[in-house]
Amino acid sequence: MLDRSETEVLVRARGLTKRFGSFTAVDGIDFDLYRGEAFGFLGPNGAGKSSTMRMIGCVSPPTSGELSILGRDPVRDGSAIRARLGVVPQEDTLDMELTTLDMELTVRENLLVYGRYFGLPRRVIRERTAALLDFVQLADRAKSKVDPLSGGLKRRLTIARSLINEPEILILDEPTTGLDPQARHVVWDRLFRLKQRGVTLILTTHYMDEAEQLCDRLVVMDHGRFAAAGSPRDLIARYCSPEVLEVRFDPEVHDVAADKLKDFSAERTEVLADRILFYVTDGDAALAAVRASGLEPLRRRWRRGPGRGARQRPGAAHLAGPPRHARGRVPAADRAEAGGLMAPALLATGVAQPGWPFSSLSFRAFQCWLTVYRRIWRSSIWSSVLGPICYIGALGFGLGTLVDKHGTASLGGVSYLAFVAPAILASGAMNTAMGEASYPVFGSLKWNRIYIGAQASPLRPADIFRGHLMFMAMRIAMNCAVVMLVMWAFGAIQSAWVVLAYPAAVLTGLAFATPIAAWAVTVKIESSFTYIFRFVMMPLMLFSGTFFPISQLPAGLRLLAYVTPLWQGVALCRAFSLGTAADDPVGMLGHVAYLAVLAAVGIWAGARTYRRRLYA
Amino acid sequence: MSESVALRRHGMSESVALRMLPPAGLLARLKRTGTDTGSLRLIERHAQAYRRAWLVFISGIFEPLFYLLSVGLGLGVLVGKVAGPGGQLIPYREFVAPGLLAVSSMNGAMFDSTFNVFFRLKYAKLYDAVLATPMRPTQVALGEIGWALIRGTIYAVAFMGVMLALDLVHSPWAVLDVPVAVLIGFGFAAIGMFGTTYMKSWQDFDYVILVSMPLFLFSATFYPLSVYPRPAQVVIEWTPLYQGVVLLRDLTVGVVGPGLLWRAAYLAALGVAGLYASGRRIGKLLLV
Repeated sequence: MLDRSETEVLVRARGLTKRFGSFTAVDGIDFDLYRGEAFGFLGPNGAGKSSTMRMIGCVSPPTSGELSILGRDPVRDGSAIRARLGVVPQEDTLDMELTTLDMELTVRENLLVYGRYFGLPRRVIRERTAALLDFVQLADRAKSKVDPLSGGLKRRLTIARSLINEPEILILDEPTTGLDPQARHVVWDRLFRLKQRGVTLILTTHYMDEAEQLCDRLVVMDHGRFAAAGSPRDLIARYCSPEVLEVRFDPEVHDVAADKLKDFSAERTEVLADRILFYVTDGDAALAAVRASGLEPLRRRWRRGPGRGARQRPGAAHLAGPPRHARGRVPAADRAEAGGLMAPALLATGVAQPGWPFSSLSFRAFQCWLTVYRRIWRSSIWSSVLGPICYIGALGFGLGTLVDKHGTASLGGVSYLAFVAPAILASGAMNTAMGEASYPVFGSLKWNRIYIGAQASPLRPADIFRGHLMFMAMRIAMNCAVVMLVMWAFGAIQSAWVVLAYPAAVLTGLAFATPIAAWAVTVKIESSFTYIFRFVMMPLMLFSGTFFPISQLPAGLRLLAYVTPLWQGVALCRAFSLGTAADDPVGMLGHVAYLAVLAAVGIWAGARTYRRRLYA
Repeated sequence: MSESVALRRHGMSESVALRMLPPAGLLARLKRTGTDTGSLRLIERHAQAYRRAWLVFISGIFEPLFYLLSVGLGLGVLVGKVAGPGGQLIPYREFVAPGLLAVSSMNGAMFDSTFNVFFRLKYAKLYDAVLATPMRPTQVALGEIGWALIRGTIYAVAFMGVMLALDLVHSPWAVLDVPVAVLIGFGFAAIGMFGTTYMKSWQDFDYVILVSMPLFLFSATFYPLSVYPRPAQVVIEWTPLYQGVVLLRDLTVGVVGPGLLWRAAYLAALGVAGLYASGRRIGKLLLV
C-alpha cells in the first residue's frame, strides 16, 4: 500500500461538476489521485465517467468545482498540462467514425505525427516509436495502414500513441470495451506492465473484473455521483450479497410487477428492461415472498452471489434505461441516418410491381434510395435550381452580350443564349450523372454501407445496381426538367421541337451514369474519382461543343470531340432547341443510337461488376 | 524534474512563456498564435498524409491548362476583344485568365477548408486526437488554413506558369499575382472553415455551393462589370471574389492604382476575422 502522506497528489477534485444544458453529467465529485497508483471509475454508460475523463484530459472545462491537475489549472494551463498526459480515448473499434487514430497514415506515421503534436524532435520520436511498437507487439505491422488492423491491434496502437510523450498520467477511457477476450487480456497485460513501471493510471470501465485486475482504488459512479469507493476487494466484500434472484414476468405485467415489488425487502433491487434482480441472502425465501405478493414469475433464476464472478452487478443498471450520450453525441448505430441499418428493413417491404427490365426487386432497392432522398431533398433542391439559373444567366446573358456584339456568324446567326442553353442542359445531365454515380456508389460500399445492408435481403447484386440506377435516372430527369424550365423562362428556346430535347438530355445522362456506376463499384481508392473529374469530365465539358462550336477546334481535337458522348448529347439538345433537327434526321438518329448503345452497355456491365464486387 | 525542464523537454518553452501573459484581445491572441509553432505540426501531418497522394496533387495543375486552352481556342474567338481595366481593348483570353486564377484560388481554399475540414472534424476525429495533446484550437484553425494556403500557393504558381507559357501576361506587376491569389485563398479558407464549424451533415455542403457558384459566375469573372445594370454593379462591387478578380486583372494587365490596397485589405480582414472566429468555434465544438 502506498504511503499517502508522502506521495504527491497529481489530480485533485473538489465538488467537480459538469453540466450540458440542464443535464448534469458529473454532480459534485471529490477525489485525489496519487502518483504511481491506478485509479478506476466503474459504472454504466451515462454515469459521467467519460465526462470526468475529458475534464482531466483538459479538453472539457468544468462547469463548477475545483480541479487541479499536476498542480495546475486545466482551464488556464490546458496545453501545458496536456503535454504531460497520455490519453487513450473511448473508441468503438468497429466504427471508423469513432476512432481518433489517423486512418490516412501508417502505424509508424501515426506515432510520428502524434509525437510532433507534442513538439518532440523526430529523432526522439523514432527511438520511442521503435520501443513502443515493441512494447505493444506491433513492430511487424509498423508499415501497415491503420484501417486493416483488428480492433485489439488498433487499441494497442492507441495505447502506444498515448505513451509517445512519456506521460506522467495515463488516462484510459474504457480501454477494452468492444474487444474479444484474448485481445482484452493482451491489453490488460500491457497496462499491468505500465503500472509496474510506475506509470499513474486513471481508467474507466464497465467491468468489475477489469477494475479488479488493474485498479488499486476504485469508485463506482452512477448518475454523476460516486455510489461507493474503496479497493476492489473492499467493494466486493461490502456490496456483494451471497445470492441474486432474477425474475422475469410477462412483458405486459412487467411494469406493474416492478412497481409492486419496489419496496421488496432485499439488500438491493434492480429493475431492468426485461427482468427484476434481487440481491439477497436467501434466494428461495425471496422467491416465496414474491409469490406471496400475488405475482407468478414466468421464469426465475438464482445466481451465486458475486465473488470473483461479480461481473455484472455494479454496472448492470445501465441496461434499464436508454443509453445517454456524453455531449449529446449519438453513436452511429443509434442514428437515424445510418443507412446500413435501415436498408434491409426497407428493402424487405413488398411493393408494387413495375414492368421489365427492372424487376420488383430492383424497385425495392430504388425505394431505399427514395427514403434517403426524402431526407436530403430540401438542401439539394437549391443547388439544382440555382445551378441552371446561374449558368444560363451568366453565360447566356452576361457573356452573351459580349459574343452577340462581336457577331454570331460562327454560331449560325443565333444568339449566344439560344446556342449555349441547350448545351448546358446536356452537360448538366452529364454532371448530375457523374455526381450520382461516383461517390454515392463508392460510398454505399465503403462508407454508409447501404449496399452491404441490401445484400442481407433477397436482393441480388444486379437488383441493387438497377435500383440505384433508377434513382440516378430520377435525379437526372428532375434536374433536366429544372433546366428546361429555366431555359423557357429565359427565352432561350426557339422551337417546339424542344420537347424532344428533354428525353435526349435524360438519355445523355444515362449514357454517362450507367458506365460510371459500373466502374465506380470497382474503385478501390477515392482519388480515382479526382482523375476522372479532371481528365474526363472537365475536358468533355470544356471542349465538346458546350461553350463554342467544335468547328473552332484544330482538326485533331475536333475529330476527338466528334466522338465524345457529350457531343452527341449537346448536338441533339441544341438541334431540338433551335429547331434544326429536321435538317439532319440521320445525324440525329446516329446521336441517339450512340447514346443508347452506351447506356445499354453500361447496364450490362454494371450487372456484372456489381456481382463481382458484392458477391465475392 | 522542475516544471520548466519538463516543458522544455516537450519543446514547449516559448509558447508557455507567452501563455502566461493575460489575454489582451484579438491582437495579442493572434500574435501569440503567430509566434508558436503548434500549427506547423498539423501542416506536417497533412504533408505526411499527402505523400502517398502526390499524383492527385500534381494533376491539379492540368485544370488551369484545360480552362485557358478552352478559352483561347473557343470563347476567345467568339468574343474577340473586351475593354480591360484601363478601358483599352484587350484579347478576351487575357481578360478572363486573371479571373480564372481568382476563381481557382477561391475554389481550392473553399474545398480544403470545408469538405476536408468537415471530414476531419466529424469522421476522422482528427481534431479530437490533436486536442488531447498540447495543441490548441486556434493552432488547429491556423494549421488548416496554413495548409490550404500552401496548396493554394503551389497551384497559383502553376497557374502563372501556364499563363506565361500561353503568353497571357504583359506587365511586371504580375509578379504580385501569386501573393494576391494566396490572399484570396486566405480570405475564403478562413470564412469557409468558420462556416464548416456550423455544418451538421454532408447535405449542408449544398449551401457552400449555393454561395460559391454565384460568386464564381457573377463576380465579373467572365465579362466586365459594365454588362450589369447599375444596381447589380453596386451589389457585386461589395462581394469578396470581385475584389480578388479586380486585383489580379489590374495587376496582370498592369493598370495599378492605390485603390487596390483597399481591396487587398478587404480580403485580409475577411481572413483574419474568419481565422479568429473559427479558432473559437473549434474550441466550442470540441472542448465542451
